[in-house]
Amino acid sequence: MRVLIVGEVPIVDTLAGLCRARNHKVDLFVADELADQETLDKMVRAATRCQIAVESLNESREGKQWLVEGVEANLPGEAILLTNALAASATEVASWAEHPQRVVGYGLLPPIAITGLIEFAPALQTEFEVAARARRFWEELGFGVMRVPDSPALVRPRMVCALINETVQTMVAHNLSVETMDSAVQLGLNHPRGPLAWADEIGLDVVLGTLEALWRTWGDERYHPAPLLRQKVFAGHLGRKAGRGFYTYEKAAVTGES
Amino acid sequence: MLRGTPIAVVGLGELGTEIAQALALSGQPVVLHDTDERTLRLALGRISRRLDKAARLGRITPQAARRAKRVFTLSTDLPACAPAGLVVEAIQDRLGLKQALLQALDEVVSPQAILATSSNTLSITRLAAATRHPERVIGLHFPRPAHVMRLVEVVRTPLTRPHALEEAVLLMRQCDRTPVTVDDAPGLIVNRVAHAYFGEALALLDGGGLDEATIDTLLEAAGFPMGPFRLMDFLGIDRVLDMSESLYEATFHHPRYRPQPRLQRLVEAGRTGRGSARGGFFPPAGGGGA
Repeated sequence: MRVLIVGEVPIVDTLAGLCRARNHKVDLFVADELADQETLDKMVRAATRCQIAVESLNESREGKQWLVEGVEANLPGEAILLTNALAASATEVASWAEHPQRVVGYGLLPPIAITGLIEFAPALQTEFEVAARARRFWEELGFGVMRVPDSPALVRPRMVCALINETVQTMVAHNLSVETMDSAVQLGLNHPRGPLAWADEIGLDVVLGTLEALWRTWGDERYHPAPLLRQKVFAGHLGRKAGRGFYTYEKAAVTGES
Repeated sequence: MLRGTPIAVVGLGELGTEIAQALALSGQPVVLHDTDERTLRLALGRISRRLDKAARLGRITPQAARRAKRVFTLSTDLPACAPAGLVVEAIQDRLGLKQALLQALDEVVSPQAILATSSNTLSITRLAAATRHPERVIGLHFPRPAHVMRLVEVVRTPLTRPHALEEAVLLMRQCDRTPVTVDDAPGLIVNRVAHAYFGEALALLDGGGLDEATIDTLLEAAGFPMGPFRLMDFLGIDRVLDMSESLYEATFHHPRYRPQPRLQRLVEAGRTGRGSARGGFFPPAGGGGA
């Protein structure tokens, strides 16, 4: 099968790896690189010949809409679009499509366990056949598929981003260090990882985009993004992928940075 | 604190018993005080059984278990706490009772001794201010179960003298705990984050189309040792509701901390979890249904 994967790291890399292991032909595009017109053209060409397009871009609704419109409009008639429904529900994403019935939501958050569960959320517009194809695709990649109702951020991304938001606000209010705050949550609540380290893995921009979708949808105070989170995103401290978020990381790849 | 200076625990209910067990690892003598003699004996029995079990499971050495069991003295008289360098009270979480107890302890122990309250719902500042030596009053919040969890929140009020905090921090390290010093603010840190975990799960139920088991399964697959609903059943839904209500009151009704009516219903129904015959979010173990 020919699969187009487009969106943010590290999700797209992991998904590309899983697809290649299943002998799918993968066209992989990282969202940042689409600013380059030539890469964008290449992505559009890849869209015209894929059978399944997998999108995961959640740093904002606007960014997601721009990408989804660009991809979906160029898909061949039989192709379907799987959208990581964090910064918008699958139903909202489908509303941007020329053929809303071929859009299906899923929910994944880094780190992705290969044998883990994937949240699966057809949009209100999704055709039955399309949903069945999507489910089969995830199962063949090795995921356990758990059907959940479609709403922004589904279940785990919503829980985890709300936890991160409260953790950031608590850290600021008590003037604690990042390490102390993370270890307090791990030792005091048995959480599997510190919420701030987890935020760095997910990408602070994605956490912010998710919280904004929740805030927009429910209007509940607890989704109001912590000011520090927003500041970090303004500063480009987006987490591990940027070499810096709440923590600082050694950059794996050599970059032109002086 | 000097070697040999006792620590005292006042109030040997479930929480007090767990705290006493944690403090026994310090190597200091531990005085257990409760007005009811039977409560004291029961507490000691429970601690002893849990230490044996911990040794059996290899969590502590058999020597450590034996040593820990020998540190306790029981007394129904408050003055037995007089030589203590640290007194931790864990009586019922009610302001009047706690204030009266701290005032009584204030008269009994030396002015250098630290008085700690284990309350995680009341204002520590308010409790401290009612004593004659508020500078030595701190909070020690032990997340439950206290004999298992590694974290202790050491709570500073605007009146606390730094020395009292430093000493408490050292002593908690001596008990193999990880102390974090926090300001006396609603929910401290653990309860705020716990509230987010529970609150979000409850909000998901309100959204419809999901049940407790599905949400738990998803979170446990993501590495959480207990999903939110199993965890609430384990901790006690009445306790979770108390925590939530006090957080809401203490923040002057900040909408972020609004308690969930669902919890109230379950408590009213007697479905408080924690081995309750009526169950909690889930039916009681061994079937029966709710």
